[in-house]
Amino acid sequence: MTTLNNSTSEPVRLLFQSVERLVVEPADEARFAITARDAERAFRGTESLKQFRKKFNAFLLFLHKWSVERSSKLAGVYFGFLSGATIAICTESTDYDFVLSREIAEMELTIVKQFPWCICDAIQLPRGTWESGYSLQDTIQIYGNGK
Amino acid sequence: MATESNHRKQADHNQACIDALDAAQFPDWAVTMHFYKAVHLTEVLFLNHEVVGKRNDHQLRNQLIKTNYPSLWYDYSDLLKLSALARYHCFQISTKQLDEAKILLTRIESAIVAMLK
Repeated sequence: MTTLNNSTSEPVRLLFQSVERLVVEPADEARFAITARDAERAFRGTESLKQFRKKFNAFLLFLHKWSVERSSKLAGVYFGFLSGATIAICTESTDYDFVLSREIAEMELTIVKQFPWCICDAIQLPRGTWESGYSLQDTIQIYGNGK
Repeated sequence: MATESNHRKQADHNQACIDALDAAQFPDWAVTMHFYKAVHLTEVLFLNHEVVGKRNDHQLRNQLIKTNYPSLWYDYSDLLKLSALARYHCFQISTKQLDEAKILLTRIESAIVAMLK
């Protein structure tokens, strides 16, 4: 049985082995299951757990790909249940980036089309605000290390 | 439940607050008032178009905007996020960002007025 380490202060880490496959770091499996279960509670309809997990993983892979394509601007991207389902996008800049914000809005509209079950919002967090309003330790780390 | 007219009045009320506020001293609340005027304008639009759907919190309202009026989402989401950053994340709103917020609200208002029946 996997034991949950409640004392950890790090987000759940994923290994994106390809655009098709993600793997949870062994030490984080239990905490990943908690966030995945929260997502199931919030978003799973009548479909099977296996079907939902497949959709959820596809959603995480989509976010990872989006993040990699903007790696020069991003320090970390996280998904979790913060104030509702939230994608926290931590940027390298200390300023609010209006160009990036357009791309984030576009990404949110893509989510509505491709993952309509996932009612979530994304927020751009400039450096200096990353942990001031949210506790990212309860999230899944999609990209980067937020350092 | 508030009517279309109620939301129009509240949007006007929020504009009066924007006009009265010392934005240089309180840029965070200035941006927030811009956002809340936009919230009431979108409510006017939803009621005018009889858009059906729960919107008793921001996330549900956001989803309705994204689904029904995707072109509005770009400007609306910037106001939403700047306001949230200022209120919850202690982000310091700059003069440039405040100027941008005014432009965003003007565009949102113009787009909504053009869409009303």
